[in-house]
Amino acid sequence: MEQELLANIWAMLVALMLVLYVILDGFDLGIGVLSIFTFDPRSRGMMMGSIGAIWDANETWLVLFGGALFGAFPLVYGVVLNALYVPIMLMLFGLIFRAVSFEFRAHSHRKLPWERAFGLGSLAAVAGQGLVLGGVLSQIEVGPQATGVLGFAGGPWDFMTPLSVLVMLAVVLGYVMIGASYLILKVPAEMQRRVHRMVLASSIAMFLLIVAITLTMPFLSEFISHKWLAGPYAGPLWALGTGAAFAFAMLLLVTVYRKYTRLPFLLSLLVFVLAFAGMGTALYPYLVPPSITIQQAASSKPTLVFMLFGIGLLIPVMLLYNFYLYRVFSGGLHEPGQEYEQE
Amino acid sequence: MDWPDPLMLSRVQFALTTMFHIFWPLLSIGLSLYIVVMEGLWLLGRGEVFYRQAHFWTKPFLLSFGLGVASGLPLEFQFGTNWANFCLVSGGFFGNILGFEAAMSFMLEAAFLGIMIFGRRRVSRGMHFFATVMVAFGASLSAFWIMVASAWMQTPAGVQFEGGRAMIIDYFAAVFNPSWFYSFSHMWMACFETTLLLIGGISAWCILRKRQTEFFLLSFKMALAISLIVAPLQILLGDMSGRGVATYQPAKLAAMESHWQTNPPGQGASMAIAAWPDPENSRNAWEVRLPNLLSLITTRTLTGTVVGLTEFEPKDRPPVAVTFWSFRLMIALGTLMLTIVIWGAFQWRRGRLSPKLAHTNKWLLRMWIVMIPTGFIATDLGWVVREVGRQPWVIYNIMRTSDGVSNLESLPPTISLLVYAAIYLLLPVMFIYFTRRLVIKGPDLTSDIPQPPVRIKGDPV
Repeated sequence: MEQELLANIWAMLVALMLVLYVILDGFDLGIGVLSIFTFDPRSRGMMMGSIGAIWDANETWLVLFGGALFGAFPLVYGVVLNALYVPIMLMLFGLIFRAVSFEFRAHSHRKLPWERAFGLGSLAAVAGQGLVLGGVLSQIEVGPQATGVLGFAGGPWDFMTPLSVLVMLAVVLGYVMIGASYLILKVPAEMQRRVHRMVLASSIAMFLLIVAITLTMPFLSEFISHKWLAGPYAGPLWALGTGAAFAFAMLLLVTVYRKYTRLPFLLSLLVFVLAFAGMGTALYPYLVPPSITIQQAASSKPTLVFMLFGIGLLIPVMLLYNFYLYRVFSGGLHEPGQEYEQE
Repeated sequence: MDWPDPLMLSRVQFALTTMFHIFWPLLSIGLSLYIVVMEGLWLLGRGEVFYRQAHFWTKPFLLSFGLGVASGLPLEFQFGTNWANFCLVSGGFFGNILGFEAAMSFMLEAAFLGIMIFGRRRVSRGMHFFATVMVAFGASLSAFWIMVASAWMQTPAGVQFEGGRAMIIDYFAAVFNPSWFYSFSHMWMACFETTLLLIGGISAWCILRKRQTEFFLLSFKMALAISLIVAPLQILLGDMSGRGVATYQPAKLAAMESHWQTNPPGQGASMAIAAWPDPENSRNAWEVRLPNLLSLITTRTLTGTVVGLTEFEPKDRPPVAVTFWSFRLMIALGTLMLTIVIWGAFQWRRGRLSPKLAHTNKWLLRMWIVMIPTGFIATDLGWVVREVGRQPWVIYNIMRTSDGVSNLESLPPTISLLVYAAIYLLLPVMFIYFTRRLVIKGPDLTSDIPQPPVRIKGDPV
């Protein structure tokens, strides 16, 4: 296989891992953010219970994404993590708190502090992730460093732009939307009303933000405006955008109607996937726009081939046992606090 | 190097996070295998008590697993945030191995852990056992890949550095590089030894206080019996590591032994049992030496040549005092571990570990309790020898640690170091607090064993 094709395949695989991470851990983290605004201990317990058995597997997609990116595109891994040191740390500290709060809450007599750690940890992690995305879109300065090696050449606070704040808010709301729609699947009837309202509120807010971002982006970045208006990808981009908007309209309709339990979650997933596909198309062939392309960053051919066997071929297997895990723990939480207790 | 220099901050942060992270994999690898054995014995019909064992030790396992996940994620990302230039150079091999670890082991562990912990009423017993085995297998496989990556930094092989980037030329040689075997096996054995000391120590505490003596006598004897193989084996593997280091990283071995001058042909190298190195003058300020011993241990002959530190430029020498003393202390602890294991086995043979008499072995049991933390400490000391001894290189003889660091200002890594220090120091405290409570509460020996779901015909489960 040619190096160029291999690099593109790996870009697709890395993107797939990222999408899987964002939609799977996205709803866990969204539920975490929602728990901050939930004052009834029983509901909070149910929220944590609904993801107790699966959040760890979901977070693993992030570990996989990190490893694959490091192996396939070391230049991007180094430059992006170096440039976004501050938001990455925010995300990591948040994820640590989220993880330990699950363990310690299970053992603790006083649940409240750990439930709060879960909520605030989730919020910090989501905010960090939003700022990372915003930081990448706000352009990272790449150039020769003091040692002459190509790498990150900017400062630690470069990521803080109006655009990255908008993106961060959109990501927080998006996670809340997908988290709330997952909760519809899980919670008993008396809680559903409230959860439907959460889906509605978060998705409308997110939609407005995304419109704002889409409208301002072309002015902030010539690179993106060119993509939207001319260039070979303008057509597919508009198609994806229209698709996302359509899925979104369906989601609103279904949520207002309040009759379906599965459909809101599926539609939220669709919105996410289409939005992601749109972003991928807009960035192609860059990984770090507008300075590092897929080809520039890719590892050498033997590495990419070896990884294709060691990791690429395992993706279906991983999907399979994740699917099995979800099957074992499918169904609603009818007996709160009972269903997913450790034993 | 000025403080707060981003390089120094990054090094301290890496050392701190790895040294406090490693506690949890030590336990989750060791405990997961112990649980597999217990659950296996139960399924083979050796009695309910083995189910109770599996059930009780699953709780500290789960705690350590959770803390391992929480404290491990930052390690992977730390390579990018703090060591970006190392990533650029090594990514083609090192990054890909981290990816392998995630794809092969983390996914396995994470997906089956949910079933192992929450699934007893949801899947059959066979499936539950399978999930438990997969969790244990995933945990050990993860250790394998991490040790391969780490060993490659010690003895890089199978790659060519073109344009400052590692290009793989021989994958097999890179993965199975010269130091992978002794690195992995020594670490893997450390997981067992540390875990057995914890199980044995906790059991000793309960036996001494006559709390559910029969239950804890079983786990004490299990820990003792397995340690009887593990403790001496670990010393043999340590010796093997030492000889590997002598072959592939002579500067590190010389630092471990504070050995400055290469012994002349025909004369044996003596070994410093204790010494205070004086790097300025390339000698020891004071020392206690035993003749010929270093040659004997390193080369298996009385007069074999052992390369001294003066053969290397001062800028290519690792810090001596830290390496030397960490090494000495680790060996002392390993020997002490073997001693209490043999002592325990001796008492067992004399029939002193019967349910009636067990609590009378006061000093033996106290010794096991005191030794609980030593597995963790010895492991960290071993890592200090390994990593400090590799300095000043990050990739041995290829890239210097100082060339690997990211482009950073002082403030962000200062803050992150402080936050990490606070969190990572808190985790062991919480672990001790909750484990202590679990032990005081004791194992649940009475409640019903959860029943797997009954399949109704035609019901698609």
